[in-house]
Amino acid sequence: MTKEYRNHKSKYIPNKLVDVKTWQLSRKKFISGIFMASFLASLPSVSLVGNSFNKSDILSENQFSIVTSVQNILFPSDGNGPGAYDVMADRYLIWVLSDKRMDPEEKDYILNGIGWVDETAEENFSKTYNQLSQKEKEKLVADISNESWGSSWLSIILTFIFEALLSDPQYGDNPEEIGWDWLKHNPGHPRPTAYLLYPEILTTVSKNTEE
Amino acid sequence: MATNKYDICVIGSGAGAGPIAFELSKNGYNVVVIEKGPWFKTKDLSKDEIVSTRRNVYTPPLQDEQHVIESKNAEGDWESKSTYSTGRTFWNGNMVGGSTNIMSGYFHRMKPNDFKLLKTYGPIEGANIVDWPLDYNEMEPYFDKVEKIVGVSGRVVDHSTLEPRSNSSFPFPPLAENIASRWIDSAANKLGYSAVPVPRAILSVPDKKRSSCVYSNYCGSYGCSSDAKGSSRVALLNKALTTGNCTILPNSKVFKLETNGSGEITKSWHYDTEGNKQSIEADIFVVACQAVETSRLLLMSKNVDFPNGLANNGGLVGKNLIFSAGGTGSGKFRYDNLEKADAEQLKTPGLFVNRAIQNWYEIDDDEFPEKVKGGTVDFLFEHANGISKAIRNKWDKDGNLVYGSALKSKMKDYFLNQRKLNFEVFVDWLPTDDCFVSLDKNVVDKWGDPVAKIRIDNHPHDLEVGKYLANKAEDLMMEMGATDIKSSINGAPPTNLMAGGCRFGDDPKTSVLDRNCKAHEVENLYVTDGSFMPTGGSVTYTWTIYANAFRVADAILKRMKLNKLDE
Repeated sequence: MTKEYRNHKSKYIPNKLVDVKTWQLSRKKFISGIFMASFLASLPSVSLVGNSFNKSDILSENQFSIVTSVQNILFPSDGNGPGAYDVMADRYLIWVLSDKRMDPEEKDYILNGIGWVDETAEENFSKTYNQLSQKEKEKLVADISNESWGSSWLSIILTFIFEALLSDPQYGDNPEEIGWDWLKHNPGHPRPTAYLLYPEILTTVSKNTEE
Repeated sequence: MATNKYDICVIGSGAGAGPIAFELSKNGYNVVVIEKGPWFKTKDLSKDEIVSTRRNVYTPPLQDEQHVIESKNAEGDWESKSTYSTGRTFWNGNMVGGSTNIMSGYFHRMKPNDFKLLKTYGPIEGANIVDWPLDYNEMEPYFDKVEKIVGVSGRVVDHSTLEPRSNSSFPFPPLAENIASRWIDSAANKLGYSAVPVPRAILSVPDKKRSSCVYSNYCGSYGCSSDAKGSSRVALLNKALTTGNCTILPNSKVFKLETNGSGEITKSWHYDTEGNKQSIEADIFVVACQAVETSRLLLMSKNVDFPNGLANNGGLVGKNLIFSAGGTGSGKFRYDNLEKADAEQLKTPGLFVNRAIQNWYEIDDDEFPEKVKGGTVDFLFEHANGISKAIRNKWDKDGNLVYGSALKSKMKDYFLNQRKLNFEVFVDWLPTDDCFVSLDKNVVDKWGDPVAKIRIDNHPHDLEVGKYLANKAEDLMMEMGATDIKSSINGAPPTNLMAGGCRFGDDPKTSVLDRNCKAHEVENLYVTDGSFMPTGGSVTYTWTIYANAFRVADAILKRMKLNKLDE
């Protein structure tokens, strides 16, 4: 196996995510073609206190544990406003990944990145990610943020935290408008009704015909 | 397979389509409007950032429908990349009413010299500049008509490049303004600039069934919930529907225009929601799908009579694509540098800036060897989108990812302690041989049809003019007391402001359309989006597209009436 092939295979970054800084700044839409089958149906119950999810087929316990830990390092509950945990960014990410029409390349990249975090933990510390101390986890995130795959992957995880922080609480995140309150963010009005939320809106408007 | 017969078949439903449907249906003609996107009605529009800007709701998923962009790489070689591979969509509002639903509605008229760029400023090497076959005076009544029917609010002030007007004032008074507008006026006075109020296609007072602006603070990229914004859907199509003569077919993607072998279109073909092929018959066909898709449809409509695409025996369809572009810049106002009362006023959400400088619409300066065409600088606040604002804090100046407590502190400062004022520079995007639309040979859409391939390059002159204007704008920002002032002038095309591809002109050898925007080669084909424009002025195009479509509607009406007399 050549080095080039091994790199491609082990840390493949989709073209659209390679130049992630440009991508973030110039692209209006973050994701192409997300269409979730049913947000509410796909997340039967969430307990914030126990952080217990019925994650079904979206993420394994190990994957979920790694990605939520990384989320909390990227956006900690540090006393200066809500953290990823407080805005339910974990639940929000499941909501994103549960989308059957999400661009498979982007979805794979997010899932693969979780595995690469674990691999890097083994390489750097000879431990799985979940065996690391909090300080070691933070060191690991700092290390991977300096790698090309790492900075783009962490950047994407951050973007979904921002969505959880600042989107309408009807999406199941930003509880009691905690994110809006922190940043004194003024959402526009009218706010969406249940039928106008994504992705329900696509069904709603598909029924529109003549006045 | 259903077949229906209409007097007029309009393909597309945005700024180029609405005036045709409105005028023809009002005059008793049976009109069908075929739109590829869904029909969002006012009740369906909210200020949800996820729907409006974070997911592909108003545009198709790129894995289903993409474009191929050909541009020069760092070595100067042409390189093709699909928008699916780059993630940078080239679609706009795919919905009934088109992009006008989600426009910001910064409306500028073109100016008299824009119609005769070649005659006034002479040729520029490498640029395919031609004069329009008509002048400002012929278009003026239609600019005026748009003010009244679509609804344009504003205030006329005398300035050096004010366009001649048949009415001394706008039909709707100006929208309410933020204190920043006064700061711009004051700084401009000190510098000897004249800051001019920017007209907006937004109602400041109610008009019949349409409410006035509610200053929601979310305008561009969002649909309007009060119907104040002058979208084609609200201002024109809804009225056309009340005549009983207009039918709108949403979710219908036209893929071919069929001709009869005698230079006339007999049918349009579209895919319905189930993917079935349906046809529509009509006497006259009007194509207004936005410049790129209009050229694509004509190029796809090949037959024995038109082996290179409809109306393309001259080989000109798709050529000389242009964009309304230049660059952007910004400056920040920190609240702790301001008097408390001023800071509070600056924070007020929803109120508009609505200022532009047009002193240098024509530049007569030693920086250029001779008088050159300049442009416009519009000022506007940073968009209120929270998620987008957060994303801007992710990277430090060296391009490193910022995260953790440092990121949260940075975000808090960004959101709570300052407001950003942006400016947008508009110069002429000079038409060149290296900016055009063709059909891609490899990539197809979800129906199996070839997608549009867009070669994009801009003339270096555009950047020189853009930099000149950006420097003037930066000086104004400095005078206002802004900090962290920056600008970026580049050849990146704004995909919502496109024109050209089917130039109009009097000579069939050098133009696709005649002066009434009827195809030289096809007796019953009109093109009424921005495709007709050989040059675009140094302003956004929408007002001109609306105005020209009203002008073409008059020409079609005249023709229809003459045909009736002949019967």
